[in-house]
Amino acid sequence: MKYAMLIDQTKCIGCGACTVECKGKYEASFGVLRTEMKKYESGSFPNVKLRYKKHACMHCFVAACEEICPVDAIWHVEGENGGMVEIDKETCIGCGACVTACPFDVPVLDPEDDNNSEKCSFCAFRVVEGKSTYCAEACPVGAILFGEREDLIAAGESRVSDLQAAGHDKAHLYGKEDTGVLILIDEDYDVYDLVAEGFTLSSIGWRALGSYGSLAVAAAIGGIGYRVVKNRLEEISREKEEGTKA
Amino acid sequence: MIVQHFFAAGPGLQTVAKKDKWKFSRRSFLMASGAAVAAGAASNFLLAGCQPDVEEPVVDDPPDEPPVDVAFELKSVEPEITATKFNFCGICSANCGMIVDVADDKAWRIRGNPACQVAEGHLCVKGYSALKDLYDPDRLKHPMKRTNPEKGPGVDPGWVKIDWDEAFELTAEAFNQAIEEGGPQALGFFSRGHDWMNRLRDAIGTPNHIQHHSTCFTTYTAVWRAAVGTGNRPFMLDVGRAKYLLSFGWDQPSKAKNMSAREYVKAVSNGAKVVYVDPRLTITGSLGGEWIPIKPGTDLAFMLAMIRTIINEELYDQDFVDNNTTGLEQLRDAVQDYTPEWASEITEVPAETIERVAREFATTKPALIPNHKRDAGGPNYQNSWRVAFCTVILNSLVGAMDREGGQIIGRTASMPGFNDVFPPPDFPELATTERVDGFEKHPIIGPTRRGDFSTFPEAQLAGEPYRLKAALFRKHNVLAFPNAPRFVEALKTMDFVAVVDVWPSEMVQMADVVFPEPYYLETSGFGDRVYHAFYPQLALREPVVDPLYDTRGYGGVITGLANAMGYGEYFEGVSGGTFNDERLKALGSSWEELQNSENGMWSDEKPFQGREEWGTESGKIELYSPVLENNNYDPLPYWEPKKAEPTDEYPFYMIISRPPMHKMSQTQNNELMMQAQGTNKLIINAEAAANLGIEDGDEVVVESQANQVTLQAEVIQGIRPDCVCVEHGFGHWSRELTVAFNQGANEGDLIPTLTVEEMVNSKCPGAGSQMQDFCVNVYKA
Repeated sequence: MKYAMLIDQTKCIGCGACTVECKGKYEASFGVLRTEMKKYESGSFPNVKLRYKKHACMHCFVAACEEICPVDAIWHVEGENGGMVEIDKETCIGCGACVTACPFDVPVLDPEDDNNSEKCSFCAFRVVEGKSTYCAEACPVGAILFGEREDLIAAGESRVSDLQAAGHDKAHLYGKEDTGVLILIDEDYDVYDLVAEGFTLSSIGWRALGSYGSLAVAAAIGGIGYRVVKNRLEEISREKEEGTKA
Repeated sequence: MIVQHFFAAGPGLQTVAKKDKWKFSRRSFLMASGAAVAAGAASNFLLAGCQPDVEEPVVDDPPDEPPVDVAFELKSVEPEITATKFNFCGICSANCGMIVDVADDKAWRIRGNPACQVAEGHLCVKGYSALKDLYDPDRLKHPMKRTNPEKGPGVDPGWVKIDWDEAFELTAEAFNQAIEEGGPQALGFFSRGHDWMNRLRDAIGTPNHIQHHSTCFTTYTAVWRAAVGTGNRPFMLDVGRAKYLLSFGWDQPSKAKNMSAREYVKAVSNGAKVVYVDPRLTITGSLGGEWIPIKPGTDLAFMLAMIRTIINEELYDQDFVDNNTTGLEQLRDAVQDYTPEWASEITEVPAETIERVAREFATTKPALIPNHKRDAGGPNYQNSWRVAFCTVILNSLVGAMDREGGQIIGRTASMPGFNDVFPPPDFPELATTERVDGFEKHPIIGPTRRGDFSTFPEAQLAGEPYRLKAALFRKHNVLAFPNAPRFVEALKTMDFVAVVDVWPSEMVQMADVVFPEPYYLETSGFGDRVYHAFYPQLALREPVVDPLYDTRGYGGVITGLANAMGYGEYFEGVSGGTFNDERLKALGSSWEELQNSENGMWSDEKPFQGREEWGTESGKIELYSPVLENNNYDPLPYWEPKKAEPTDEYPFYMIISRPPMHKMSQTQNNELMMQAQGTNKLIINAEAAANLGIEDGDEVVVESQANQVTLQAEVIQGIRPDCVCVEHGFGHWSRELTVAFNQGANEGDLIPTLTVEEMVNSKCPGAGSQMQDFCVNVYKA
């Protein structure tokens, strides 16, 4: 993927400028948002840390939503400037499989639009022309960066080093191997409701899932959800690891 | 793959109509995933989604091949931009420069103007949402008069559409009758200062111009007028270049004040140390690093102990203090009792922390205590003005006054005033200097004519010293008043209320005649960069679209009213266009030049140079203030506790905050902002909530001596267990605000009003409204 976004949660003030700028451009029902702010508190009084997360599609390289979609309405944009994950509204049947499949709990069904699945499109129609996303252009504090992925990873790593040097031990650039959206965090990933990197979303993970494909799809459609599958996969992974060690 | 099996099982997916396809597919799921159901994977989803409404025949033939590799197209949402207009934001007073993209007479997108030093190319969440205000279908569309004499929440005013002439005549008649019966003082103007309005006020000769600032920042204004001799709006900061930021409740980043948020994140990213002193943790405190959960209303003790440490250990900026201040000796003597141990008892902050912060603050350069309106030095408590004074003193001691990385006095453009451009006929003598709200009784802040929202309701209801019989309101909503229900009762005692507004606000619901005004994006003019002016800069405002409704600007409303009332001579030859042009000509520019400027700005860029001369009589910053002393106030910020302490009946301190997505009670009908935050909650500490059996999301009642409101609880860790917090702006009761109506509650209902006597006796030179100086009870609804 040539382009990426880097969301620096150590700069984010949680104001929602990205939320309203996006919602003002892409029509959807009241309350159906392609990107929104989520607030996370860790610790307990008086040792408390507060952070926000820009909650939106991560544009996974191997996307659970795409794999699970029974009508192939979800697709990766092809071409040099592609890589973004899109939903075709004309094809979407509003079944909600992607909603249950997404490891990040991102897509939502829009009740006033035939229950079609709605999520961030990475402003793909702009990005294929090399133009930035609306949210990145809007962010008043520079917490959302758009650019070439390699440059953003370099900038992100440099920022992580600075933060670690300043005592933020948990500073980390999330998503380098897996997702079109990079998130810079300074807490453990699970504090932000993110999933472990390099496993569930990797092609290896999906190959493993492939062998359990029927279960995965049935589970997702049955509403049991991705997490059941994920737990089973974690078990498999542990078993394999232990096997290797033995 | 199983998904392909679904496809193959069904006919004509690509060609059936969308609705049929949807039904078909749901049915198909049931059949195809039967195995999964049998395996125990049944769910609500399946049960709810499996039944097709009607069995409709599918007419298309099945495709030969399953349609797997469909080529999708990316769809642009962007229209073709046909015009680009300059404007500046009118939502808050920062006035960020805007560029508006217009497509076929419809505004499509607002961007920040990169040439504007406030905006630097970006806007805040509120600015980006402004087009929803412009195109809000609930806006006022034409003048109206009331037919239902009954007024108040839940009452239908019985609006009747009228034309402008009738609106002016009805209002002029009522206003003139009020003047005839009660003298000019019986007519009040509740409005921000405005050249046209000020002139009509003075032509009539009423002292009652009542503005909201005593609920906002007059504690700071009074201290600056006395000790610094300048700066009626002392809020300009060079946060971005500071290396040490000590905040006593200064929380602009979490409120998304554009320039504050940007500069703050810049400072923190550059390694500035932040100490955030506040009973509640916000993102300002948490991004910065150190949070000190101080006991509410005790910041003064913390600061007095800091002053003592900094002076006694001679850590202050010798050069700056010698050259720019007076009164250090008196200050040194006055603070000797304020030891860190003494302050620790009051603030519940360890003495060594106070001492350490004092030393860090004085030895890290540049260091700054930022302030902006309702922080610890804002009008929250009876003692808040002393916090404002300590802010001036501490910033002076470390040489942060009008220096890089410090508190800046805005470099605004010097232009002729309204009366210079349009010399008026002589104004009559004021009928009386005695105001309804008693604001003239405060010698330092009184001359600013800011007015007092907290005393007005009681004075009006008591009829002492007299009652307003009629009033004109603009941009001050009912919900902005302390104890809003009490204010509504006070309003009902007036014979006639006229309201100028954009929306059918609660104030409009109380009106007899309504004058609709345009949204700022439909108007023209220019504006100074008041809150972030390192050099003089003016921003152009041009209408981004033609007016959507039958509206008139405030100046036009005032002129129409003046003519109908018989004060037309004061407005002969007065025009907005001439005023714009004459003011710009004084700067060597012109209205035409500004209108044709390439970036929508007039700028007089010059390097920043810290000032050495101050506006006081001594020409220095007066750490010991003779002005305060001569006006019977304490000349130094001696310790004084706040008024209210928790009791068995009201066991919690009350904290009022503002969310980033909203501007006070002005933006809750904006669909975009409401989707970012649609209500307010009672924010309570987890331990305190557990003690009360309150869980996150429970309905709770919050009760003060004034009123009670019901809210949903938000249980968090980042607030002291003895405090609760509610964000302001919600609880709209105007049914004509279809988005805002009935969302959340107005915490302002809980704020006690004050009598004029109580306000005078509180000896606050800024007559601050003491918006948080009360306690509350909380229980499950």
